[in-house]
Amino acid sequence: MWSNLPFDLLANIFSFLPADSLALASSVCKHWHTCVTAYPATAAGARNPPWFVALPVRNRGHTCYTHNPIIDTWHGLFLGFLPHPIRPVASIGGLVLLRSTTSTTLQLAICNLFTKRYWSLPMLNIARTNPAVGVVFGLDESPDVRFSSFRVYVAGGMSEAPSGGAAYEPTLEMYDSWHDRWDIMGRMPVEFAVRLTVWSPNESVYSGGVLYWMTSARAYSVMGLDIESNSWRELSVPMAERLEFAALVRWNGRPTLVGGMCNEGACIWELGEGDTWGLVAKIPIELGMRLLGVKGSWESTKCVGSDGAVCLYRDLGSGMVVWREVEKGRWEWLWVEGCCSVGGKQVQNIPIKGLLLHPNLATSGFPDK
Amino acid sequence: MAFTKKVTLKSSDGELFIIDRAVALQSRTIQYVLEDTNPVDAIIPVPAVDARTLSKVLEYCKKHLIDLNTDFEDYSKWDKDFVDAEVWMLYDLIMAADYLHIPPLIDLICDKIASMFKGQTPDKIREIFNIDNDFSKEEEEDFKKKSGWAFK
Repeated sequence: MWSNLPFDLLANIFSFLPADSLALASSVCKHWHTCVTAYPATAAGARNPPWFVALPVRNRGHTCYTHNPIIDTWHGLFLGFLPHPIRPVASIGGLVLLRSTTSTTLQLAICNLFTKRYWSLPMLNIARTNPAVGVVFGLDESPDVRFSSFRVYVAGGMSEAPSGGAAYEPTLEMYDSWHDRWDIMGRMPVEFAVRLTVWSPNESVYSGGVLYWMTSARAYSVMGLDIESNSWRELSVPMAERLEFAALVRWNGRPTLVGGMCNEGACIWELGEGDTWGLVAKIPIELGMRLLGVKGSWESTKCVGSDGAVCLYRDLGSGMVVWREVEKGRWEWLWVEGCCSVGGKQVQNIPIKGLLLHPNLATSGFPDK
Repeated sequence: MAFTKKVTLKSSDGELFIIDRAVALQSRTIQYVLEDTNPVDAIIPVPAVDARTLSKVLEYCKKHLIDLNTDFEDYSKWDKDFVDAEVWMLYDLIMAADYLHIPPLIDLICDKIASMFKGQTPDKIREIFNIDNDFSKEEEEDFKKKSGWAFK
């Protein structure tokens, strides 16, 4: 009966499960296991909110932590399968884009933290340090990352000058997952290459044919790359002078700015028509105070967002302020306790970078080599 | 009467169900049969579904036809009660909903079944659904290693 239910029905049932329950279901019997690992529709989570993944900034401890938003619990994920030290860059569906920290020039890789698989991307055409990295994903609207292509854009950075020394690299390169190679897309204005060459790169946001990045230094501004025409523009940011922290996230399909002001609360602004920012929400004062603690400053706050949730966090143990879509169009603020223990074992507090992703337990498929 | 809006379904165990055509049309399988052959007075056999299950499925179809205008809260409460059933009944229902191709009913049952093993151990899930463990000891150890993060 249940142990030989047709795959499409079983996959439909599994699509309602959060990833930890799915991992347990996959070890019930062989039939279920095959369904979880091989059947595309089970790529978990389309029906669930995204999971917060806390990756150590310095790859210390070889463990990252992830929060299941359905039953409000933390899990530890072992990072021992990674061949060398990494820094997280961005999430792509259920996968994580990483960069290797063994070399100063950019070397990117993809991994699935849940199935412990890792793939290096090919080398760029032009070796460069600290460029901006942008991700375009989900264009074909497939819920399954394995059949959905993605592109990675790399802009600016420093490269070796012909005369020796280093110079800004005013070019744009694109990686396409279908072709598995990098192509040089053209030149970019030097001033944008300069502004985008950063030591603490921010995540990109893709919306309406434009890739947006926020500059990493104050006063903040936003750079936009129109991909079709390879044209660049700079956008100002509301309250730019007064923001102690600012992050650009994708919310409601639009580039959205989350920023906190000195001695004041934090706000969320959406980029609307005509490049104007509209206030969409304020972080509830009591939640903001809880996040900041005695420090009372937004400076060490970080933020990650996706279409289903926005999380403000500081480090692993300090807890998060989450703005989540609880049902279609209805958003709620809530507090999520930080990760201080997993399965009864105490966890050391570490600096983290947070990503939001939909865990994918499928072991086969793209990018399979 | 020149045209009847009634349709007769015959379950696998031979029971006849005379229902409104609109109710039957919620099943895409029956919809195709009606479009293809338009059997005005004929009986449509449903060989994969017994009478007990078919009457339950038709109860769902009637409710979801008549009460299209009731608000969301009422609807979800009724749905919740509808799938508050024994495991064997849910199995019969999901197979029937699949055969008759009624997507919202399939989703409703899948959600219910998923909720029954959310957060449960593999042993507990096997017990609830009466499933034999066909893995070797080695394979089980391998899972614990790979999916150890999900085990408490």
